[in-house]
Amino acid sequence: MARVFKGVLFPAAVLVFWEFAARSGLLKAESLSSPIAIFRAAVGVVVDGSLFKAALETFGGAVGGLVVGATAGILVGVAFGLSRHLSQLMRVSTEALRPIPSVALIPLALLIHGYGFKMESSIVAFSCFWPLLIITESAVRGIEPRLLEVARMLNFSLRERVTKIVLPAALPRIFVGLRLAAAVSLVVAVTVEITANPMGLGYALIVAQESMRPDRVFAFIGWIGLIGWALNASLLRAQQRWFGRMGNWAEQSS
Amino acid sequence: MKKQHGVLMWFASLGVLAALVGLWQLAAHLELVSPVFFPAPLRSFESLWDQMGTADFWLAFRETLTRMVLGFVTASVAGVALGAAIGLSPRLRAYVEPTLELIRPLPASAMIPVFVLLIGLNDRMIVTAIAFSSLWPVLLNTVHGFKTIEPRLLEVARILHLSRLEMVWKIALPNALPDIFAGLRLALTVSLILAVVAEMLAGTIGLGQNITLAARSFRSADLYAGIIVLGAVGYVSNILLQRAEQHLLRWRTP
Amino acid sequence: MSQATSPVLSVTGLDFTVGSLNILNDISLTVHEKEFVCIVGASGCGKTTLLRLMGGLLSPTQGQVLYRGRAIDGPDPELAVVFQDYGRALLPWRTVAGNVELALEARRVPKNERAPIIRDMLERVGLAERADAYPIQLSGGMQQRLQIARCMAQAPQVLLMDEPFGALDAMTRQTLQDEVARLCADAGVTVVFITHDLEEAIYLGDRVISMDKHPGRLSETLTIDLERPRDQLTTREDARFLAYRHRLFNLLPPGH
Repeated sequence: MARVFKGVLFPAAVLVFWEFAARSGLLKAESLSSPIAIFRAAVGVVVDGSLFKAALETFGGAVGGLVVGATAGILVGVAFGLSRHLSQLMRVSTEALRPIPSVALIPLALLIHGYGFKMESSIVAFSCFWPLLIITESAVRGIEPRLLEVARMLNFSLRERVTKIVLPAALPRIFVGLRLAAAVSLVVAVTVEITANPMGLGYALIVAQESMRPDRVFAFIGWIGLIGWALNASLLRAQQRWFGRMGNWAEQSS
Repeated sequence: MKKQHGVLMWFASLGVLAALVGLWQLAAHLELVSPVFFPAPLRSFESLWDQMGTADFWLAFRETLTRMVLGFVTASVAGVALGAAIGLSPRLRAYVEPTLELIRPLPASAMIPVFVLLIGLNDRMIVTAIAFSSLWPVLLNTVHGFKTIEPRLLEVARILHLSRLEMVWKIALPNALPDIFAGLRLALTVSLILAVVAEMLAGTIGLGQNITLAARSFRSADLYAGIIVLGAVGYVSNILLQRAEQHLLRWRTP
Repeated sequence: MSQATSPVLSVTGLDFTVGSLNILNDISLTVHEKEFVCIVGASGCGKTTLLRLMGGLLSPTQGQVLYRGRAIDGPDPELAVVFQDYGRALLPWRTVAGNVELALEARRVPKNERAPIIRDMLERVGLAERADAYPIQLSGGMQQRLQIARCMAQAPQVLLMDEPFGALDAMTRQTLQDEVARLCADAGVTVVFITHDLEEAIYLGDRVISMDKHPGRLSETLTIDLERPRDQLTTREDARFLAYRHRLFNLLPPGH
């Protein structure tokens, strides 16, 4: 109990000081707003539906990109994991593409797709591809060699080997990668919206900033954080429920 | 023998990349792909070469890099100092850690609108945004590094009657270095991303601005050249950090 | 046989309770100058706790630990502790020499005087060739030797050793037993040595004290009347050694 109290004390004190500073003119309320105003705005965006609409748009971009990028990453990761030669041959190519910051591709995506859903999800897909590629490749490499020997003994075809042995064995770690990619997809989607795409939560932030409404800016930031936290927490719970019983394959809970 | 094989494979891998680029060049030449969206690689390299001969390019390069480095270094120093203080004090941690965990899932770029409101659309805003966002990975990882010191080593420090300063410098800090570097690597990525995003928003001179303008005027070769440059910046900065890490942590590899 | 008889470390009426669990009950023990005292007991009888209390890493619930007559209130470099989990007690980011140097830094030995001391310590434990290696490159036995060298570099009066060879294979254990016996005799340190290995205790000790468990209590003390230096083959076949072994075996519960 004391632990919860201590944890709450610091942010509570900050909020109280902030409110006081805003009211007494110590802080420029036009730029930074105040906790109470922010709270009101946070409720307001729910009530007027703007949060729901923006969140749906962001989710659309994020999920669309996640599905494409993660699937591609997993497939290539499995291929690389099973064939060391393939992985080595593609080494320079992957090392050349990976360091490109996804945001650097925004103008390119804009050029090809124009504004909208496709442009955003293609950037998200690019961002989600890499973590899943790396994690899947590592997971496949780390599969108990004994299991692969069993597959050979049973004369499994490649497809059977992948679907019955490789994927199930690598699944827990792949799921951890998916959790990571989900968080990345949200962050990248919002970033793309802030930078260029006029839709979603990121764009709502820009609109609020341009209309000089810091209360709405912070309100949306708070909602973005909450949504991100809730997403990660529920995926973590799913992971523990589905994979917890089978022994501790997937390691950290972060 | 193994090393020779490794080098050979690397060259083969380089060959694969060259072959893929060659295929692209061929496709562009035969107009199988749109020259606007996927210009011939040779044109992009040509553009890169030409650009590197202009003073404007290097000005933009310097601007972006200066902001990125300034923000990154500020964030790193502050992050390590604060992280050490928080990580070493169980009392401080009890109050502050829950708040830190709340901040963790926030997209780094989401705070940019706040800084725009506070500071305006200029260089100072960009550096502040970079520093602020890069701070968190360093801070969080440093806290973790300082709070997870091998208890046996702490006992050795007590037995030897090491002063607090000695304990921090000789035991806590080296122990925390791997975590600190993990945080620094993340912060570096964030710095580059934020630099590009903030530039695109503020419209100031820089590499981000370059590719935005190139896309707007359909100068796709220039665009691709700009992407290559940004990729190279990401790659080289990461290599430099890696080298530093390898040197300081050489006690890790058997 | 112990040489002088002045008490170096003494424990009187020591009690240690955690919550409702009484781990140690009414422990009294005196260790004399240059003595090599071994404490044996089954796993979980509290021997490690006793050692940590003697080293000042824990505070007793009742009773006191006296070092040369004064009550201790915390750890001290003169009471060097050799931990069982040696890997965790070494600084992985320092070389072998660097780890030994840590003790010299603590003693505030001037920089220009350190090198010969470090070399001497490493030679005594047979690690002089590996001075520039990192702990991760050493075997378990070498790592434990390094820890011992670091502890000896503290110029301790007392060496408290917590099952130092428990994690090592039998051959390494035997080699290190002889090395430690020689080291401690040469340096003239007083030793309290914890082990669950009866034969090791008899082989090394001047006195062997057995410990019961639940709660931990010292029961019998055996004075070991065997000549030094001891030999892995001949001493262990000596009739007296076997007699001591019998006595101890009957004292301690079966299947420990």
